[in-house]
Amino acid sequence: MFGRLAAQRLNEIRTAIRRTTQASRSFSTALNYHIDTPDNKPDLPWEFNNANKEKVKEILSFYPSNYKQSAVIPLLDLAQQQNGGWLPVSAMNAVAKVIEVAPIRVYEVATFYTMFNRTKVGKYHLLVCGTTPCMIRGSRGIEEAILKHLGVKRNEVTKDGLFSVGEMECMGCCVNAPMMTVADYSNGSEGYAYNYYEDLTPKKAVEIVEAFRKGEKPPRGTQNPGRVNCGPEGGNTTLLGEPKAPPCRDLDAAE
Amino acid sequence: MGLGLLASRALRSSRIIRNSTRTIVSTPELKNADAAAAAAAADAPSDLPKRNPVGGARVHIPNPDDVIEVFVDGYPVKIPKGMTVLQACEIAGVDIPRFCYHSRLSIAGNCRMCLVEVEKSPKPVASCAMPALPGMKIKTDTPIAKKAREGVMEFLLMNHPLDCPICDQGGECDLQDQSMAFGSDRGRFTEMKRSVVDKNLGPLVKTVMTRCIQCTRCVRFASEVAGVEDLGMLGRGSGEEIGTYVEKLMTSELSGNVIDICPVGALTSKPFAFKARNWELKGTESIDVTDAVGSNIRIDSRGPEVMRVVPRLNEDINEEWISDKTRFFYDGLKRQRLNDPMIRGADGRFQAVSWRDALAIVAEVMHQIKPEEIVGVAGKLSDAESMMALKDLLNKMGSNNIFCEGNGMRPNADLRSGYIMNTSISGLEKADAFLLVGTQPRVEAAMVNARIRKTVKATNAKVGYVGPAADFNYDHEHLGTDPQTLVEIAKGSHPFSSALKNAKNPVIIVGAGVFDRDDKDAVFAAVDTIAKNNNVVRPDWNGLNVLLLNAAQAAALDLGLVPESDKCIDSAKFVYLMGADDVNLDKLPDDAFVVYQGHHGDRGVYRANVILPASAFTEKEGIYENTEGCAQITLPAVPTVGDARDDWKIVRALSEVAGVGLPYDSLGAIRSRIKTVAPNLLEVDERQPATFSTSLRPEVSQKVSATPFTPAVENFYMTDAITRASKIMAQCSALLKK
Amino acid sequence: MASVVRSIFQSIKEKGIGNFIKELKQEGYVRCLADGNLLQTKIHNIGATLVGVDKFGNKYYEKLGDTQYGRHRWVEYAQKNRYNASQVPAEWHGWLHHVTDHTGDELLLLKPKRYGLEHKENFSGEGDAYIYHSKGHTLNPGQRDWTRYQTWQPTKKE
Repeated sequence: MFGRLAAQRLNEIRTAIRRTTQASRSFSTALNYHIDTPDNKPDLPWEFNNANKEKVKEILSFYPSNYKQSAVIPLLDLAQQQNGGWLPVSAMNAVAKVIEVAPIRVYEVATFYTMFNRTKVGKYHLLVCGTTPCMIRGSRGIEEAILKHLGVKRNEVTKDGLFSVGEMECMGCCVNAPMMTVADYSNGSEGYAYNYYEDLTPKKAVEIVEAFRKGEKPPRGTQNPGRVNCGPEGGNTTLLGEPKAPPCRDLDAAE
Repeated sequence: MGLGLLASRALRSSRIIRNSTRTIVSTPELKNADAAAAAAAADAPSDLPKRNPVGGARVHIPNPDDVIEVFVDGYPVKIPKGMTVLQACEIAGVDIPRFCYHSRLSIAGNCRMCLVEVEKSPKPVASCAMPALPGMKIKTDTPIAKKAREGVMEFLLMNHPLDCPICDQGGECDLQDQSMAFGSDRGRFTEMKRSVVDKNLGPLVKTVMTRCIQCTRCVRFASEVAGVEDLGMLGRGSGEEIGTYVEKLMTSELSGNVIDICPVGALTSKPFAFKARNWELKGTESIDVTDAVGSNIRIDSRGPEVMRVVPRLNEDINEEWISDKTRFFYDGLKRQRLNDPMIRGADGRFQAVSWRDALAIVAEVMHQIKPEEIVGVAGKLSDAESMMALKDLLNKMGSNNIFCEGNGMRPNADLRSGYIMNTSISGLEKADAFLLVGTQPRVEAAMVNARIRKTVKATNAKVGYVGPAADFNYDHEHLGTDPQTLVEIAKGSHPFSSALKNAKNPVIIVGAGVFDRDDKDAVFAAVDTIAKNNNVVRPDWNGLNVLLLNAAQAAALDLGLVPESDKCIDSAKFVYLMGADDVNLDKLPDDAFVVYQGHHGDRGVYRANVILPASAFTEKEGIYENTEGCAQITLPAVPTVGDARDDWKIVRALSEVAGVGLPYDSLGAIRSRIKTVAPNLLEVDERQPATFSTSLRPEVSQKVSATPFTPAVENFYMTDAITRASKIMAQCSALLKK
Repeated sequence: MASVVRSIFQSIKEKGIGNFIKELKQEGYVRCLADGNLLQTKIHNIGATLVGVDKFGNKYYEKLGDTQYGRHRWVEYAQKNRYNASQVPAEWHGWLHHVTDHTGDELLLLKPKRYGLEHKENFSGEGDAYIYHSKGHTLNPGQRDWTRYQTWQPTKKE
């Protein structure tokens, strides 16, 4: 009887706590440990393809031969591009073999950087900026619109494997906030692109997604036709005339 | 630094440790920075009270020009260049709180607990990572330093669960100790604490990763000392955690040491989990006998039970690590114990009898047998006293057929340098080339292997290995599998001989497995030639070593346990096995009478006619000599089981019943007897180097055979009666066998 | 008082004088003459509500209103000759001592597992005292084995 009452009360308290506590921020891929899945197992074979093997050699040539491990980040990036945007354990193991370190040293790097995805992502990985300026300009609405349009949750891949949506921290495009990045893995490492789409509105964002679905590559940069790059809407308003010479002493006149 | 660690530092300089207080407490007059400065200025340095270095820390100044002087709380200390601020403080007698810093690991500087104030520095500095500079004025007790540490502590406790009551580290936890000094009595953190999934690191190390404070000591230990790069720091920010990423057991023979170095309860001992609290335990400083290294251990016992084994500091032998076998074999002490004298009846079954009856029968049988048919075999775990008593007894009976298992049937006991580690274990650090002959140090002597690895890591020493395919955790060259390779190296025709030749301090280590080979003399002769050709033995350097396998071997050879004939087992009618389980009794005649004296019902028992229960090494005081020739004493930590008695006492009693009474009745008396045979065994804790070198060895005409070397230890975790009885060791060998 | 006398006469009329005297004895009214405690209880019982009767026959009364708060619950023991507080079973204890307002009968409805043992009153000094023997004591039937090792069993032959 009291037990029941107490349990009820406890539940109330719990839900109250849950409501106030923010859900932990989910970065690109959440877990810091590996769970075997059919498409992500250490014993699956994985190798750089022939074209990329050349690139691996080139990357390694940037570093002294006794510091091969410095190449871990470019190599992981290359592996990620080759593998359609994500890094299975076997790819990390392959990188470890190339740079001759223990696999755990590669796992450490791959788990540290949020741009290395350790779970599957879509061919087009959409990363919406969630940092303050973009958030103030409505990035949450944009993310919501895309998620609703695609019918997925954050970090989930659409059924056709084309899209996944994630959140990213500031990408330095605050002047054209809100923005998102599209990491394009549809053509392997050759056609890899990482383009910014700025000045978004929820409608515009969905249009871009649809364009990608059709196989088009919408023009990157600001989506506001009234702007050129990050210039103000409707053309420049300041610095219209010839710029003044720097305020130097006129040495000739001084003489 | 944990209390356990501090206690273990008390090894030889226990006086020093008693005087030095763990000063986290600040002196009231130093609380005020101005007053402290004034006090420092007013007092001439000579007036300051003498301070003792923390934990007996010693200053070793390699170059007198590189001495700098720094002031710790106004107290001047002279330290060599390159020391960190934290080390300077330790020498000045100030114990700086720390979590991530460990003197034997690389510096990480990520816990920030060791913050101190340095004059003219705008911020508190992390003393473990800051090199001391000449004239630096370090203040460890100022309000700024205290406040800084309190801030760090609050952040550390933010995500640390408050589960001290159910944590095995409770009572010996660095975080617990230091939060007494720097922790707040209330928390300001109202969010949810983070939680981390526990990792499965195998049957020895239990993980509760939520308790982890990310000091990375275990990561550094695994990659720097143990040589298994399994652990890593995964993730970032608050999601950071220690783990292996893919599930992987920690397959190192030193993995248990992460339990000691973990400053919190994140890594604890799995077999010891929830068994006892550390303040209930009685520590007994003893010696490990599971291999020939003689690691210094502390046996923690509660009542009649050995609860756990932890290392003691001994810079010359095991530093502060011990192998997993040493740490976790202790449950074998509680299983398969012989507790009553037993006689095998006519029906082939054992029956418990009284000591009087058992000894009477043994004495009677012994008298009926011709003296040359009496054979005594000392076991792997026998101490010097009992081997002396057994040898004296057999000699009094007229037999001289006594040997120690593992030494082979034709041991060469004439030259002490021919069977000990002449370089000494700590001396291995000076070496720059190793030649391992028929030995796999990783399984035969894990602590020696750790030294070799340390040397290889520090000096890039070359390692050549002759023997069966083996597992090494450092770079090595596998030169061959049979002794022919040695002959090639001796001739200089092998590519590795140039590496040996160019080395300044070359080291050759011969495994004791070679003792059992028929061509042992030839192998040793080949090794001698290599040594001669490459200047391995010089007046200032002796690099010719034998790595023994068992704790009893060195003392047995010192005491002259050499059989008269190498076929004595084949014709024996009376065999006295003193804990000998691995001796080959296949050729023993069926009508031979076998007495087994030992503490475990292991292999030797099944052939025995009479069983005399003896005490294990945790239950008696005995001298053991390790492979480098250092005699050490075990001390009784727990009472013996049942009717068991000390080995030498049984032999003494038997001599009385047999009418050939031995002339000693006490440990002191038997030790004076040992003194007449091998005085070096009484120089406890002092390594006694061999006086004569092996160059005196007689010429050998024998040729080496082409038989490949065989592994001397098949299973690292199960080498003797105690470890074979241990369940934990059985689990380990099932899961981690190398 | 008059009503008490009237009810006595009524019950004599119903049961007959013999039965009445027998009941007086059983209910302890005769004992009252020698035992002031019992008399006090009996007088208290007048006008009180009988809340319940436990399995031993102890009667639990409560009277709110004109009694002093804290003295408003009491028990009339089933045994009139030798009674003591340990005769109250666990389920009624809480009610009687104002720990809870749930009567013993209500608590028994929950079928609590923790009253697994049959209630037994305290027989100390009457030859049947309960003596606790520690786990290591020989008289404790579940005496603990202090042997901390296993012996080798000579049965199996290699």
